[in-house]
Amino acid sequence: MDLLGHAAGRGVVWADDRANEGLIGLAEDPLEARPCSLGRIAPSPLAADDVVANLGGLPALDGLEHRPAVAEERPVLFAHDRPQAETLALVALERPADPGLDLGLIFRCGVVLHGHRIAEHLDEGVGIGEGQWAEDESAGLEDAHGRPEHSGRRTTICGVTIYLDHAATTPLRREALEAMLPYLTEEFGNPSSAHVFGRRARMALDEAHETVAAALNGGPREIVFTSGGTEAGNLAIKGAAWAGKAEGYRIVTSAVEHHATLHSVRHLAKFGFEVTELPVDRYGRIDPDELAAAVDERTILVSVQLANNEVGTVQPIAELIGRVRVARGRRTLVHVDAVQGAPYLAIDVQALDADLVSLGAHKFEGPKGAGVLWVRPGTAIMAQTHGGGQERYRRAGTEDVAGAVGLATAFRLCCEERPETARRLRRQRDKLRDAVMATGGMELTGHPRDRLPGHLSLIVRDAEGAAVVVALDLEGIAASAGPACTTGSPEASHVLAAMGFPAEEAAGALRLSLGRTTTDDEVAGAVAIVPGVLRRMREGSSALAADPLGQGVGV
Amino acid sequence: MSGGVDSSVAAALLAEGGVETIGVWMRLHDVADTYSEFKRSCCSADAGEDARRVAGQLDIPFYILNLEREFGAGVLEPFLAAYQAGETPSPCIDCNSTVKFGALIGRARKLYECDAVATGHYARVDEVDDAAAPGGRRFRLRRGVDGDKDQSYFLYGLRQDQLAHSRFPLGELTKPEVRSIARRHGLVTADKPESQEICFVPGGDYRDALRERAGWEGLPGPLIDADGTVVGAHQGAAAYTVGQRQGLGVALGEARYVTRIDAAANLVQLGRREDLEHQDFEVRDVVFTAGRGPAGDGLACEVRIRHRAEPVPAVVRRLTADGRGRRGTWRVELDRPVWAPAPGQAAVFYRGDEVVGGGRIARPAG
Repeated sequence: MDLLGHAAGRGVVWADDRANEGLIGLAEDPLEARPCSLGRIAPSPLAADDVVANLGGLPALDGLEHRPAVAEERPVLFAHDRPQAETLALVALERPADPGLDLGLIFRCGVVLHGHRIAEHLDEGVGIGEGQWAEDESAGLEDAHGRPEHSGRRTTICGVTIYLDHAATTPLRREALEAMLPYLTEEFGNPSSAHVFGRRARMALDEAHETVAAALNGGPREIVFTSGGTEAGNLAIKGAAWAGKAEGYRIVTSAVEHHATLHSVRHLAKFGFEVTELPVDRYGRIDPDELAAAVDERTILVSVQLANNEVGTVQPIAELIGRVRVARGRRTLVHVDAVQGAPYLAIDVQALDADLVSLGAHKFEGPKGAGVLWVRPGTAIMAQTHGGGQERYRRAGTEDVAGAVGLATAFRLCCEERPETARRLRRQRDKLRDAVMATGGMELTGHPRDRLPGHLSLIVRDAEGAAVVVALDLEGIAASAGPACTTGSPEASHVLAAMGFPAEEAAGALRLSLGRTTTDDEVAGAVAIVPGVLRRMREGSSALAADPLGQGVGV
Repeated sequence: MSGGVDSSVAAALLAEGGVETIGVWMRLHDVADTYSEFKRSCCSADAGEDARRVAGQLDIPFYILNLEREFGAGVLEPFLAAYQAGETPSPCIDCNSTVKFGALIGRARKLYECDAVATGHYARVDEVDDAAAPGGRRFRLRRGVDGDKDQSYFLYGLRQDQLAHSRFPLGELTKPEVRSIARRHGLVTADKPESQEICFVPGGDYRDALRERAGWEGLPGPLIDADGTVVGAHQGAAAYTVGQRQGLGVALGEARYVTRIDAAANLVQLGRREDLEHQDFEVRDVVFTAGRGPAGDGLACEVRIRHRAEPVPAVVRRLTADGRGRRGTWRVELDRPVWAPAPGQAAVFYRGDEVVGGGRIARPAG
């Protein structure tokens, strides 16, 4: 089946020439219109008779008939052959004003399976053209339930939202899920138990430690599994601060850290620790000289991120850590928040020369609720949860074996695929970036080169990022105005503020973040959809700014 | 979607009827960031969560839109200014005119290509032939069918262009019917109690809002009786409302009510109950729903001076025409007196079940 076009959330036009007959129809729910057996096709929002009446009268459409789909009594239109189905699609696409058809929606966006898209023709009001039919059948990519196969090349389904928010979270990859399933079912043992169930769970947990350690070039005893990146960061910062209190009370971090860091150090400040939040440049980078100047004999901890979640900037981490070492050797601990960076940047803890590194599994297609803190051997941290002696007394509580296994599996694969993933993401991101920037009124944020490969962050001038995200969602693009953690709150981004953007500019922040499973089709879909939405948002926002209380909403 | 049962059902009816429905909860003020463990309000974060939950149950998209700036300019500032000028504001009316059917319609149409904003108001809007209207058609605003719940009073300020893009799916329904629809859909808000408070005054005492948002400090002043005798001290003119009886701190034998507030002179005057009976008064900033006033300078209609008050037959007469940036003032001459028309509150003109216009009750001269 080929999807000819869609209006996200509103309907799709599709065609199917299986069994040597052309088929086109309107499906109300795009999710239901994925390649599948005819019986699962959603009901048309229109009575089929009305469709025939609206489209009738054209010679090419003579003999068009409608009848219930095979398995269920739902109306679909059958063309006699593929050319007739194509004609029908063209007519449908060219006659947006047809009453009852409302196919004008279809002009707004559209993607066809397997790289064939009609999207670029939509602005001109042209329907599908020569050579735009998909040549390969998609049937082979379905699983037993009629859903697209989850594979490295995820089948792009038109009408399904294109997910461009991988900086917020990523889907759980199938391999990780499969590795986890036994530990959520029959292998349910507590790793601390003496019996066979406990031993099996312990074995899996040990292997997860080893897998993660190997991927980081560290040792298995240096791995502490946590409930996620936030807990890992909290344990690193609070644990190092309290353990080092006898040596000093100063903590140095930067103004663009994740809230897991900033709120942790500000919490510590209430207990007598002195916190320095280093400024950053226009791109969000810390100046190594300023870091060196901020570190003194009372500084027990430096916490910096590898890459920024909001603007994608990668810190000059080697130089930053090097300057701390020159000044203080190992007397000042260095925590690297690698939650956002680890999926895309190789981490060798020996070369990095940090003391603590935190990771969050769901950023690299692992499960939510699983994270890691790597702790250099000999580094004292004080546990922040108390109870049993799990994770070498560093994190009490029965271990989430399935989470650890899922994290380890996802991280191993992530690291193996990383060079290839990063290359592809950079190419895809640049394509999307060029399309977005061509619309005008956009300003890129973050470092132009030293940035995460799939990360595109910008300011849409005159518009509000939160409003843009709503509009994009309604058009089938999932994006973010900033970090997912602060969605809905009115505060401006602390990252952009630290980078020198005034609040009114920062309000237009938009983030499109690609991930390993992002397909070229999805990028093409985004390229077709996003610029138009951004243009509309800029124009609409300017109109609203002139009339904020809607004193002339127009009839 | 406020998170109450009415807007929940409005959304349910639209979605059920095949309308492409998008749920929106407006974050309007800082009270919205608190949970009810600390402060209770119809617009608290809990309400937003209820709205989100209902949207999820209806399987419609749902967004939180931040309209704090617009609410501040359109509702909060006039609210604070009115009390400080000795008037009694009508924030819900301002919110409808400038936020729900102002800023929100603007966003819905200009940013998201929506056709209309729908709410859970008990009111009706329809389009009728009118030879005098541009295009021969105009929109009518009518009372909701449920006489107890009718909210048309709060909507009198809507212009034709606003009505054209407004939908009131509950207009033909009664509250019990709405509850039953909510139960049929299993909506989490089905049995939620009514909220009557001002959403940004969680404690119910508007003087807290004056203090916190306008830095108001009650400046005591004279409390005078009808004959001008000073009978006590008030706690700041803005803390009183015309018709108020409680909390005056005076004992004068017969019950006394606030009859007049002169904020400029920081003076609050009392009187007996009958001193508040008024058969005519002036109404300023008058608008007519049809977009133009009556043909002559007078109009026979029924006038309602507060939500759910019985409309009283009256003739309204033009005193001053609409001026630059200012709507005209009209005189309301009622068939029989009404009690305590409060300056700043709305007087809404009805003809039968149709809202024809309205304005704000003006302070009596002198």
